Amino acid sequence: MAESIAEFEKVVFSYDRAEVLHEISFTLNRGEVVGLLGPNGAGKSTTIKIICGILAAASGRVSVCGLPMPERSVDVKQRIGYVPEAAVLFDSLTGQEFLELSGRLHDVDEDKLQERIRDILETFNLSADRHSRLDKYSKGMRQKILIAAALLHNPDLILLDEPLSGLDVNAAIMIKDLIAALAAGGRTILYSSHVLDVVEKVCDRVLIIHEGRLIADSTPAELKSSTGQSTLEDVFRRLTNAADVDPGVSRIVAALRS
Amino acid sequence: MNAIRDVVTRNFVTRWFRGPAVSRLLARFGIDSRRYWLLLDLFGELSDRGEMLDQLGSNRLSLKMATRIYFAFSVIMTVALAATQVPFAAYLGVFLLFTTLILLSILLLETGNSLLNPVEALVLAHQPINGATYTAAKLTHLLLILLYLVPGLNVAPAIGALALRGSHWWWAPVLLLAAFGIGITVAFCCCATFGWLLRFIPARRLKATAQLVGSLPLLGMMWMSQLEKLFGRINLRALIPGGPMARRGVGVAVAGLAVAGIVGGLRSLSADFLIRVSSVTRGGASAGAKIRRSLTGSLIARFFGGQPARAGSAFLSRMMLRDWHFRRQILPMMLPLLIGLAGAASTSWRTDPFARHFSVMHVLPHIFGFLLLFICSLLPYGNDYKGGWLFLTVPASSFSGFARGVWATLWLRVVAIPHIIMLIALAPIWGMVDCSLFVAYSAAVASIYLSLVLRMVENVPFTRQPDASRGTALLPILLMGGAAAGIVVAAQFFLVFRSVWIVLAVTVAAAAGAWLLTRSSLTAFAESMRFHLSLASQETGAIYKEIS
Repeated sequence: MAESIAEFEKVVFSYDRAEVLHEISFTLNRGEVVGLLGPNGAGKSTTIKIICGILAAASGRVSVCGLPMPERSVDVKQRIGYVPEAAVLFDSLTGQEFLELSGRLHDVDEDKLQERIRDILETFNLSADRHSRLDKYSKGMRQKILIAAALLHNPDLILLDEPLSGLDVNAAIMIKDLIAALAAGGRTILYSSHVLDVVEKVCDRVLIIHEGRLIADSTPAELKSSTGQSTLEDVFRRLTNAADVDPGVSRIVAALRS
Repeated sequence: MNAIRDVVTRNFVTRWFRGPAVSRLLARFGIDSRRYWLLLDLFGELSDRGEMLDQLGSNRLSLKMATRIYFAFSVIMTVALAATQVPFAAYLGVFLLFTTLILLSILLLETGNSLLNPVEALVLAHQPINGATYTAAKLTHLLLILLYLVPGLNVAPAIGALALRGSHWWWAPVLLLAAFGIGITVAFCCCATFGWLLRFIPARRLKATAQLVGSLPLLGMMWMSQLEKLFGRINLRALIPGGPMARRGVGVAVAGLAVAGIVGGLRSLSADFLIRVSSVTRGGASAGAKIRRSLTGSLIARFFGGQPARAGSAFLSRMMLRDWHFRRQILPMMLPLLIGLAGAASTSWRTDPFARHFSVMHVLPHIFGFLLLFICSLLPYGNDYKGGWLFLTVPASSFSGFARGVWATLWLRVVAIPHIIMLIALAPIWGMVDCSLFVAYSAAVASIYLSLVLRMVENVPFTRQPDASRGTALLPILLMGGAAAGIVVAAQFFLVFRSVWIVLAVTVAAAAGAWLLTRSSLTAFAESMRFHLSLASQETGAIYKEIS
């Protein structure tokens, strides 16, 4: 039986009075790459933030790495890596300094930390810019720094919220390969994205959240066969009741002409 | 000198202060010493590199400036009290009360700024830092303010105490120690207050509530005499039991409750803060779902420059209401002005300004001017300054209309509408002619102020990073402006309000002056916005002017 690394049981979350997640339940197993899909505002980032311990569920049970959340959030944060959706960084720090801060906060041994920073920056082609302030970095370079910071402490669970945003083609290919390699090494990856063909390629299993409810939890192949669709994009559109795009496109074009 | 400092830092700070003894002490309070020092170093580094400029506790330059100003105040008070030879108890009480009120007003605002708008907390929220460690680092940040302000406020009084009759050498250290004790208590109280707020106030109302709480010490200072009367009427002595033992019991109970309140608030802050920070920073009341077409916006678009003017008007109106930094700064500036005005006007609003008696109404046009000065001094700065990129994509021709939209909104909301209300309210009392003339005069003078202070808004409003040192830099401008306004008010009363005809002539001249100054200010404002966005360079403009 697969070892579970994160469990959600009937989790409810509200921002003020609006309920964002309605009794969501799922499990993430060790060594899995799980895609987290959903339209904008469906609750994907909220789900990830609850796993991270940044938000606390209103009700239900959450456990990560066998530890209850949010009670043990500090211990959980030590064992997860998180790449947030928005690249919020301390712009006045250099890339090297930001990674050092993140590694030290995760209590990584100093020699090991410097070695890992050097290796990761070299792999990401950022060695030459390691002493430049982050406000001089391009969007893709900032994204690489976020990914590097999430990996430095060798976490058990890696949460990626749109990780390929702003990356060039070569870097994106490398990250996809890295995800597969990390999963093969026993790391669990929760991958939230709107780029469905990438999700289809890298993920073993897919969770689809729509209007705060979990509407699908299966492998891409099973989802395609059960819905009779040929691509994950078509499955997604069907399950989320997406309207036909043509009338919408026509309406926008007509509005621009008026 | 630097070598000596390095040796002291290495031997004293690193070995002892960050040593195992202090770590064990911190661990007793649930604070992870390693991460605590990392956070303190981080805050210091970010401050040195200008990333936390809007936080006074991290901005040593602003702190030094504020310390000098308070030192100057305390020297004046010391000289006054030492000259009258008041008893030491009264002397001590005055300075401790002064210290408490000043620190409370500064630290409450700083705590709110630091906890409710924490850019660093968003980056740190998913890091393995427990609440106690983060709270301790924030508290240390507040204590840094004390290291500057408490000596600034109390060194002169401590020395002055030695000049009192029957003085002892220990009066000076007693005063300083008591002031530090009060400072530390105030810092704990501020953090505890926000701990309780965090627990009981919904996230979307937290920022607005914090701003009101931050204004309370200021209101307390202004209503001190009313509070004294209230407490006098309640007669607290009669409510407290008579015997010394019973009184001691009441004292112990009150102290116990206060300590419990502080401990409870701090525990709440350290338990919840990093978990709730995402909701807190996301917080903000709903802007409403209805699409509203503002009448002001339509008027401005019609008469002041089309859609760019409407854009300027809508942008300014919404950001003034919603920008956290702007609201946080404007409230403490505006409240004393408006409350003082209301208090003064309540006694003399019936007096006709042409009745040859000086009344608060003669100051009114200049109060509008100061209000506009406050607003325009804050307009360049905003929390969402990074959103300024949008203006880089705007056609250069739109900036002129945008500038007119900004000006028209300020003029309509701060000058025109209040004066129309005044006209309606005061015409039946002063008579239509006197009231119309005074309102026209006041509006013309306020319009001159607006045209002058608009030059302070050099860039697109709300697109520059907030900077705490601006507040202290504004103080000399306010002092000079206040002195100049005082001279103008006196000249206006003795030279202008002698005859209706003189007032009429000055009104016409002021209106014409306002018209010309506004035209030139609007051109300068539009050009400076483009210049700060690097859409136009000053050099090119200068060469162009020279050639033409």
